[in-house]
Amino acid sequence: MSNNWRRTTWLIATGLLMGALFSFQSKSVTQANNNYNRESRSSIFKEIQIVKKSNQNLSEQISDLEKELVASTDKEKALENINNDIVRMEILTGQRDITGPGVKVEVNGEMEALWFVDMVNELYSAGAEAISVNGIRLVQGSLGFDTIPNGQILLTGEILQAPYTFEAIGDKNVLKNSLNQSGGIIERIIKTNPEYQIQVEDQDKLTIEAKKAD
Amino acid sequence: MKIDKALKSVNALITSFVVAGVLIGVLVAAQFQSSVAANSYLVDELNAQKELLQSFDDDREALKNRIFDLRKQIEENRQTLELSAEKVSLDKLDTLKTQAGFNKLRGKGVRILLAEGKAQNAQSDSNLVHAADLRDLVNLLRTASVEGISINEQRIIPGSTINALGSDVLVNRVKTASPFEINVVGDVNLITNRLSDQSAYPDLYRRIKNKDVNMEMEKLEQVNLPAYDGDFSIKYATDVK
Repeated sequence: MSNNWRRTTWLIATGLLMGALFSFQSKSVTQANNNYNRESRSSIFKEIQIVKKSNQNLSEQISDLEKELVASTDKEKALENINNDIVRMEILTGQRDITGPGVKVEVNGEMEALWFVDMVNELYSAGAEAISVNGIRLVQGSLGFDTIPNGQILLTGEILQAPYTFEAIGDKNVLKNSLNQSGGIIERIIKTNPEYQIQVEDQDKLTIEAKKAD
Repeated sequence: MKIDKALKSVNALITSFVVAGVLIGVLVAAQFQSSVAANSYLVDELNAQKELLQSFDDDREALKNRIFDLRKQIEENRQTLELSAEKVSLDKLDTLKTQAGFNKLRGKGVRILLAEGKAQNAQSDSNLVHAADLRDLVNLLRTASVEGISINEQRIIPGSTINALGSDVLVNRVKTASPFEINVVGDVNLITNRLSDQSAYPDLYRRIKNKDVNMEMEKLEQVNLPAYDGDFSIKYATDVK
């Protein structure tokens, strides 16, 4: 009786211990997977690169502004700088035709609005200075991709027809690599829509027209 | 016979203990292994990367303050020139800066508060406000021809970016997190009309309806938007003469 009782106690204790260890093991593996999925290393690495690049741009901006400050007391130089600023702002607001190197992306497939939004975000994140979609320059007031009831995409009152062409001016290598990187926007679109055909070409010279008059 | 039976019983007991011991040994070893390989290393690495990102954020603040001071001094110097030609150019520049989002903006509009709700279960992240949710919402607001948008004091301009950083979000490359205050200047009726269209942002709308994500909207007579103060450069685009 005493032996049986002791044996039972040992078996119960062993079972409990094994159960506890199984539980801890399972929890630690789940935790590790959650950490990995939610904070993918490639993603945080990419963001570090973006913020680092942004700080470099700010430093360059400071250097330009310091020169501009010195010149700002000289009337002639001050006026020249004001005119340069005006040209830059006219480029930003889409009032001038512009040209430069960049990438051209052609998507063959009925793309949803969310992919237009993500593609544009990806291009700006990679340093695009100007973007057009099917020839429409993206500026304040022409940025919303609207889905009309039949599923077509409306941009600034125009229905976009496939193939959709994105043109972006900027560092063509950075832009192309950013789009084509593993886990990047092209891979994500293809993974969700395997039937799409997407071509990315770097271009030595692209021309993006000014926005159409309101 | 009784002795044989007793010996068999003892052997069975010993065998079960040996098997249990081996199993426990394997589990203990696996536990230690997973602790080192999965938790400690990965989390340490992520923490190091986050610290690095924080140091870049701190640098960024200092750089932005310096830019603000320099622009202010340049502006003051320009104002003292007081010549008609410069005055015309300065007015033109000011108008362009307003169009581009480089000036503060004030006007009628709405304030949207978007915050994560309670997690329904540990495996789901449907209660989180993702960067993609904010991108979709900004896109929707843009279809309402708004004059300006800001998210947590970051002015949204055409070249603004919204990206995920773990559970945080980078808006204009500046780290921010839930709750998100989205201020919008524009036609209030048009904005509320667009926001009521659930087909325009189905995923976020479903989560708001399920109370996974909390969204509140307030119509305001006056909304103040900050000026864009992030980096911008034009190195590759040139004017077509």
